[in-house]
Amino acid sequence: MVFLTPWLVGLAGLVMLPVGLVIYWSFTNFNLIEAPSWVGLHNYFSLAHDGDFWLSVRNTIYITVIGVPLGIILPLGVALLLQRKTRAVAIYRTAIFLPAILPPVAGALVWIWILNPDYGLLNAGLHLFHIPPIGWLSNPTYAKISLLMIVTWGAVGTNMVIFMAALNEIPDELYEAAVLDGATPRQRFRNVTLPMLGPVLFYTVVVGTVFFLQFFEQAFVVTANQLGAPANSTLFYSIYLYENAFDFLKTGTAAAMAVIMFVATIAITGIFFAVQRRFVYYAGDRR
Amino acid sequence: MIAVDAPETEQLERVEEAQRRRAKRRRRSAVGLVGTHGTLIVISALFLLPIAWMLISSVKSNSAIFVFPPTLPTHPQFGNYGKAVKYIPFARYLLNTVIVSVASVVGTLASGILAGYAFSIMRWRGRDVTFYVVLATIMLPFPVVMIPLYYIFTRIHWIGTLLPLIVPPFAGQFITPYFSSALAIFLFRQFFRSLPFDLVDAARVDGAGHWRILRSVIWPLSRGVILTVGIFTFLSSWTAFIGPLIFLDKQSTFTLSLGLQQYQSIHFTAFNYLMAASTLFCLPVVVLFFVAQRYFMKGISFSGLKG
Repeated sequence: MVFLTPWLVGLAGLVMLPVGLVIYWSFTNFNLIEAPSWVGLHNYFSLAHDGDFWLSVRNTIYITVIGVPLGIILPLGVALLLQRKTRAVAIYRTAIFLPAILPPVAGALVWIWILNPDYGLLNAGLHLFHIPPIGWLSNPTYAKISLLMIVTWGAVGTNMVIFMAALNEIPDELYEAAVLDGATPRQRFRNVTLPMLGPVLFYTVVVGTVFFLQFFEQAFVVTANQLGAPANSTLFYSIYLYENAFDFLKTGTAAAMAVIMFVATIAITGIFFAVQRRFVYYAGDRR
Repeated sequence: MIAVDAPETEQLERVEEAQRRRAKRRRRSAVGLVGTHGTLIVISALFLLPIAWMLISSVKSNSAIFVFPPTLPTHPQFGNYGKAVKYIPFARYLLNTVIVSVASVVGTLASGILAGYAFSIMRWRGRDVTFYVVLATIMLPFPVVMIPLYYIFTRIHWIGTLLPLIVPPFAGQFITPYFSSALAIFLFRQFFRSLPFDLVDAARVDGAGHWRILRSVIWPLSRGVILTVGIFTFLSSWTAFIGPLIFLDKQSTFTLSLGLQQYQSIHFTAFNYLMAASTLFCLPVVVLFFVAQRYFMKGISFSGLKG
């Protein structure tokens, strides 16, 4: 089994060992420096009484519940508009896809500049309509909206390409049959397009959810000077985990958070897969 | 006369009615077409605007950058690019980014092709069960394992070097939020399975071993998927942030993702230089995208449709 050896070594040393270590540490008072000693469920209990922990959970749920639908409805709408086969389609597709390939850090930095309260482009645009300047990244209400904007800007392109390919795969006969049966465009969308997109919609929901559950990069870059700012409104789960691990050196607590995240990810994807069996239609022999 | 005339007028009326309806539909679809294009133009512009603003800001002078409301630069300062790369050790970071990205591509391709081959062409007991482990690792969030990985790399004295980002891809563990070795193995396996099995069988009958089959049968047929995986690995390695953030703690080992943060400080950010550096950082992936757009689109839709 020479062919599988590299992967097996990596699996053992870089997946199994770390997962084992993190589970063990979650029951200890480890701080990365001194030898760990067993504290039982103490880390889990202290998290249960930690307001910041619950705030990070709430913030993460908030951005997931809004971000996932936004990252699906918007690209689906664009993909539907792009169904005509004209030369212009390639130009629109390229324009909307371009942000998706840019480094998330570069994108976030550009947005920090655009959202700058004093000299930013966005407030300048609002100024034209006599709207007073908004502290996009300094106001707790707007900070999450800003992050949703930044992430959606970079995410629409990928899902758009997926939806365009999936729409292309829907056989024309289905639409022709629907038209012959007198289906309106809306009925055609509901009864042909949506069911046929089922598997792809499911895929994008799962990928999107897993992404937002571990949402980190853009939030970190935007608040690099003070993580979670303003007023902990951007304190997401991974950010708080990072702080516990590397800033507060509460490795045991961070390990407990990692275990909870691990279990939650398995549980949520498990629920998704159980639910899709009832709702998602797979044409042909796929799966 | 009348008896003959009546159906004719009726027919004429019906034709006219049909013509009217068709014209109406055409008018409506023309309105729809303008509406569609209008919407798409606006959306495209909104998506391109931040990129355009990055380019515009990158050539603004120090005095023009902090003006409200912002203006377009009358005298573009292309010298900003030269100053931007001197503001931080840009060349060093660029070199580190190139090293890490090239290693990630080579490592991910090598380990991914081998594993993909083992999971598709080879037949062994427990193969499909083991493959579920690959699928499961796609779902494993990086924050779960980042602390122990940091600890392990500290213990083997890799922290302070680029090794934590160079070696794991060779062991099939290239992990970023957007692309991973597990996905690469998945893509290779799916592709190899779709190849005509007769070719492999014929080679086997001729006495070819696995290495030989891989080299002479699989490799020549798989250029497309290899390019696709290579491009995705390069892109996600070039743009990776959280891995470098955790594992690189010496400034001389920083990649560009980390280095760009240094333009930002609590008190003052030189946004024109930052935008110039960001532009340079984006340039390789944009060029790659335009050169290999076909593979991007294919790869994304493939993972979406088959995932």
